[in-house]
Amino acid sequence: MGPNAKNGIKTNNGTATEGTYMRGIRRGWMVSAALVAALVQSFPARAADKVLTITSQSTITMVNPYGESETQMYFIWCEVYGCLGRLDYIKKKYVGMLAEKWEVINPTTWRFTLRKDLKRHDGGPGPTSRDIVHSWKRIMTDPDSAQRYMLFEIKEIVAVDDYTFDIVTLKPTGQVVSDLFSQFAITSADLYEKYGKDADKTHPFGWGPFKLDDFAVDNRIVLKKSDLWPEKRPQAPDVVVYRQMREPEQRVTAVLNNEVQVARLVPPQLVARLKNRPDVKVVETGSVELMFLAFSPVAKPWDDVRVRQAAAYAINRDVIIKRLLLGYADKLEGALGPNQFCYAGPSKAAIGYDPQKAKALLAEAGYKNGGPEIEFYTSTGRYISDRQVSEAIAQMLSQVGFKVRLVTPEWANLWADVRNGKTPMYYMGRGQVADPSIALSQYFETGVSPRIKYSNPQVDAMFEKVRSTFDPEERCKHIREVADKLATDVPAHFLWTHRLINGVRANVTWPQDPTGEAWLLDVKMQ
Amino acid sequence: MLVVLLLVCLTIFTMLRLVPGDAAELLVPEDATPEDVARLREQWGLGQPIFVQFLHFVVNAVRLDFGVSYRFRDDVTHLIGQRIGATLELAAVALLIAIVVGLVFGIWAALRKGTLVDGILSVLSIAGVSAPHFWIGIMLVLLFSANLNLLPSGGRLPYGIDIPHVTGLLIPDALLSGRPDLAWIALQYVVLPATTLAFGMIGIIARITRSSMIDAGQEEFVFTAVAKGLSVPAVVFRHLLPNALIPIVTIIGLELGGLISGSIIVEVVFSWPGIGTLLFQAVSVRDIPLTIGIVVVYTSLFILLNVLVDLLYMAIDPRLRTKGAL
Amino acid sequence: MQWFDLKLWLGALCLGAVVFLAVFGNLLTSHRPDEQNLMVSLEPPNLLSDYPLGTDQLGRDILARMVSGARVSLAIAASVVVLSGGFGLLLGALSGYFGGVRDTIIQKVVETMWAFPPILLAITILAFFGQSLGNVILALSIQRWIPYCRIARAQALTLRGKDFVSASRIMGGRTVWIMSHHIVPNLIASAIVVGTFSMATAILAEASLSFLGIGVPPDIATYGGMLADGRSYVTEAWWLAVIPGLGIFFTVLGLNLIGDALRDQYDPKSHLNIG
Repeated sequence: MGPNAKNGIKTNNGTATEGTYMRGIRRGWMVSAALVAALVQSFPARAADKVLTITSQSTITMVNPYGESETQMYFIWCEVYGCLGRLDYIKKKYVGMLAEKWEVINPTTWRFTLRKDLKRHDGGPGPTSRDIVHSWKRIMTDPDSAQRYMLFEIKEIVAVDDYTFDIVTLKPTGQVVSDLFSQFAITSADLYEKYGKDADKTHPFGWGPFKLDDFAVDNRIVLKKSDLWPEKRPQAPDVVVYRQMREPEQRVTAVLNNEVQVARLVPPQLVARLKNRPDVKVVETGSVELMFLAFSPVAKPWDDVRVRQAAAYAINRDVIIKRLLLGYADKLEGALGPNQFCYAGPSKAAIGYDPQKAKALLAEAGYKNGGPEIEFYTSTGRYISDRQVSEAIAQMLSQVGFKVRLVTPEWANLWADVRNGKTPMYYMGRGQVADPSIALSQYFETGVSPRIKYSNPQVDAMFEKVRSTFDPEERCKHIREVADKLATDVPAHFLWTHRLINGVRANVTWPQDPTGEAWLLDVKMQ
Repeated sequence: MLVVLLLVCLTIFTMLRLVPGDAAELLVPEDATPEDVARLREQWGLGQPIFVQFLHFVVNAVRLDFGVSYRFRDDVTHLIGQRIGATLELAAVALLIAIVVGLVFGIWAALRKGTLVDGILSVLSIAGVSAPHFWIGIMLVLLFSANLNLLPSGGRLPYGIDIPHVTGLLIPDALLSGRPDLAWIALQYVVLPATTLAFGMIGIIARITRSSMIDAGQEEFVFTAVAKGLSVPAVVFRHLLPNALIPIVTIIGLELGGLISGSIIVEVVFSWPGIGTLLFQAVSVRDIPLTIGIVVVYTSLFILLNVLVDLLYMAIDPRLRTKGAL
Repeated sequence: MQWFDLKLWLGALCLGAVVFLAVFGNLLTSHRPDEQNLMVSLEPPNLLSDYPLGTDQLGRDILARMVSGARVSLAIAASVVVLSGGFGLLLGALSGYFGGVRDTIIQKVVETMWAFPPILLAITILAFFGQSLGNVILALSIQRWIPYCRIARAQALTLRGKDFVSASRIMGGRTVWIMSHHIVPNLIASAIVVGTFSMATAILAEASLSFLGIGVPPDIATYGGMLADGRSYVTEAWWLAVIPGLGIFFTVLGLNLIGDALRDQYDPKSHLNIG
């Protein structure tokens, strides 16, 4: 056969025709290559508005401002609807937002006065006591509400006049402000009466410095700066987009490409990609989120304090921090961290690393030949390196004798189970804990929540003292006493706080807030 | 076909109602009272016998009402409607890429039959179906997004770009609104996920094109055409390809399932806001209404696409038409 | 014939390497797949060291984990093929042989199960009924029996009318005997081709499920799980993502090449039937 036959198609013109055809093919490739090259494009030029895109680790679910109990959403709803006040973690003080003044009238009554210079985003009137009462009632009665716990100490809210109201508590409590600030968002009674729950979607108008522009479930939230907010900050972004990005490497790639301007919760192993870049900087802060292991004393084998202590002694936190977290965590000694109120140094009662002691304690508790079988619950992807950390901890526990089964449910399932007291042992973080007494009470005071079901009358008495003390110094002293007692009783072992690493574009100033969130007006963009 | 759809619904419905554990308890707030749980249970009809629940379900499904999602507290139909355009666009672009690139490679290999190029393409096409989608996706992002900074790492559009909603498919919508620049932007975002999804299919289409072209090349009418002096491109496009169409359409029909299931994984890898990622969110928290809704939608889509392929068959193969077969 | 040989040998080589890893893995490394040693975390591969393929972020030996991954993949895939194959062939043969109402019902079931896009059911089952080895095998088998059913039924239908079968029946031959002696032997070739490809897709499916986090329980090392973990380390420790990916790739490639070669040889038209 001739030389042309090998093409599978016989032609009578042979090479010449084939040449034309192949030229055609080559031309095709060149055109395609040119197209591909044309895709080398920077991302679309920004509109005149300054747009700040921030990554969101958690899933964006409900437009109902009371439907989730999660730090990021609390912050967002405070920016949109407005909260009574907020906690400035950087300056470590409480700042009024919708409220301009508050005082204690008697041990069970706090009087708040609202600002009068605010307007609602649709031009409606500013917040009144009626709105406060409505919001409180809605949180307590809305079937979708997940925020009842923060109001459980309130007996009633009484309007004194349009701009003044009293919060009356069931028992004397010094922590009303810490309970409510940065969390209790106020929604409009008028709009709710007119539109019902649809108001959240169709008329999400509040009094905050940012308006809700778009809420796309499982995707993003868009906020636009409101002209009606009295305090003008021209350097702050005009539009803020919270874009859901659950994969950490995607967040980092996105900030390097300028698809987002702030990549949050960067895990330690990706920090190197952010370094040595002129257009991106690393903003690192300590965190107020305490990472801990919980041991529920009502479930075997955790009912024996020796077993709990053994588990605590088994864990080598230093090597986890150094090798797995690459140094990006601060070890906790006791229930108080350096970023929190009332911290006065490491607790002397905190348990350290001593595997021999752990084995001895287990033997004492009756587990000389092989330890107790336990189920260890942990999340995956919710906290930095959570699953890997748990795997390391699980192995450390096995090395002293525990027989560990690691269970990794999806976050929403795990959180529901923890809240309902169904998980005897788990790894978790408790965020937004500037004032530690709230979180500690939530976990360790009898009856407050079934998360650990720890019940110790001594500790309960201490919590009472904390609550009923109004002098901040005294309160702190009592809180530290609670922390010390917890350290020896170990219903939970406090491990560390992560260092929050953010990848931030060079033209953005991102406040170093240990919650990982930011008061958006404090952000500066060029 | 409708019978099958009904059976599909029954299957998935029964399966999910057999699941151990209680969906109602899962998502009540932490201090919910037993009354709250009971109220939720009644609201979703979880206490009634399965048959009654299924009847309600079918009646509602006909009206496209799949209930309210546990997790997102929003109408399931609304949630799906918002995102199905993204999935359809991804699948459509992937199919387009697979067909175009597959045809090109296939023709090239056929013309170069027996040479090194043919061998390489053959190996590449087998390799293409041997690598898992998520790995290909990760590698492509690493190359094009992280290292070369050419293409975005995920998502569908940046903020600030608004394309008027006509069909829900961004590229056609942009073009229809006279904004080709916006279509270009949307294209950049869809290119990596679509290529990932198309990867295996390119190989399959290339191979089938090649073999059917070679088969057709042996036919008498081709010799005639060549003897009459037709150039190679003309022979290819006017005589060989049309005959290769039938096996190609067959293959596409067979690969539809893979296209749909692959799209779920590609969506998750690229955070593509379609119903694949939504499904993942739903099953992670055992959100039964949303899961059922999405499964029914996917299955209906699959059945519909298969019907379309059958119709396409009839259109291109005159022999089938005369038989009146469907 | 040449091409067939090449594909077959190449495929056998790839698959053989993986099988060797799975079977003789214990001889290659002294570490267990879950054995952590944080002090040697993130070591790069070094064929001469104690950790030839390097270590992951918890200091676990990658080679040991690859052995585990190979075992899981092959075991699950083989189980799936045997289970779905056995069930499908049997059901198909019965369906074609008996015909009538039973056949119609079974075919309706086939149509219904076939209407679900492949991985959809698997994801749903595992998410709602829990992740266990058994559930993974079940979830992957639940649709894979259908191609076997089809070829068995086709075979049974053609044979039903044949004389020697009628003769067997008249002579009192039982159904089972007829099936095993007449129907099944003719299916072997097609079934093996289907089985090979089915095993390849089962491995890919299992890897995808593990990657998504809803496959085998996470304390067992799998290729997909390793890839999911290694994803965020891909610029710092490339071996964590690349090596397991290659593991999946070579296993599946081997099976695809072998299947292709077998199909070319024994059943050239069947690529239009498998799906």
